[in-house]
Amino acid sequence: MTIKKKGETILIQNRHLSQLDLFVCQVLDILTEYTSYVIVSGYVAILFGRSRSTEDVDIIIPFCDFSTFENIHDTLIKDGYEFLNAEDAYGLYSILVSGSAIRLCKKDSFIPNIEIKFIKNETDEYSFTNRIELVIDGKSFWISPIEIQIAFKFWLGSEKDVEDAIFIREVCKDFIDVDLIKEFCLSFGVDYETS
Amino acid sequence: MKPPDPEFRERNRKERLWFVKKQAEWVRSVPNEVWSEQQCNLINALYAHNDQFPLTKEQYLDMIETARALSRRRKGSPPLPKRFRRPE
Repeated sequence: MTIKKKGETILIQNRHLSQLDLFVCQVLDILTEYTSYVIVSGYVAILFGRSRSTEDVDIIIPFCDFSTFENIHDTLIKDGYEFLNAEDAYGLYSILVSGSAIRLCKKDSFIPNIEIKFIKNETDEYSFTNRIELVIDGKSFWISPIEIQIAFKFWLGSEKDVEDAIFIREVCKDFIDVDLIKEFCLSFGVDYETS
Repeated sequence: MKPPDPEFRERNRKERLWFVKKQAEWVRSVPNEVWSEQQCNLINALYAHNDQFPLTKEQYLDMIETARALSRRRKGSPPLPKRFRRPE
């Protein structure tokens, strides 16, 4: 794998894009017209080459007013997407405001889907504020900082999460800040050394 | 059905972690075209019949909620290191 780091931006070139990547790109193209975002969790590991798929891609966006959300909603519906939650725009917005997530997919195709939620705690806020740009052949993906991503996956603790954390750590070992991961792990109450 | 014994599970866990490290080592060792083509084939194959998903939207969301409730995965948000916390 050839990964280049230019300032805070990570560059990956000549990477084939799967149907999952293309689906995410299409949604992000619409989303970024109205809001910024950060991708967290399993899809970050997939972007770096983990050989697995996922049903859902987790995206966090900052709080927005209803009129902005309604624009996002209407554009997505017009472009052939649907929300799995059986609600209209206002109902979906209420779900977001309550701290829960909504799911978006291509019409009549539940998988893959994108789980969108508003920033709701300090971890989300840190990931969003310090998000980094991963550019794959000219396409931008704003992802959570790798160090918190690894520590957070260790904290979540399922086999799949721990495997994702180890994979990202190994693939990105040339440019991650191990002391920062250890600091997060200590604060999260997980043991980095035995993880 | 008898669940696998703890020793078997631990051996299996270690084997999976070994494989993840080997796979990361392989991904690092080959050009981007190579690993990403294999990943692409795998993911596209898994999505080949995703339009024939047998559940309704409601059943799918219920299934996810149930799986999450039963999962041992931690929920919520862990405390950030003090220097990154919002001032009180």
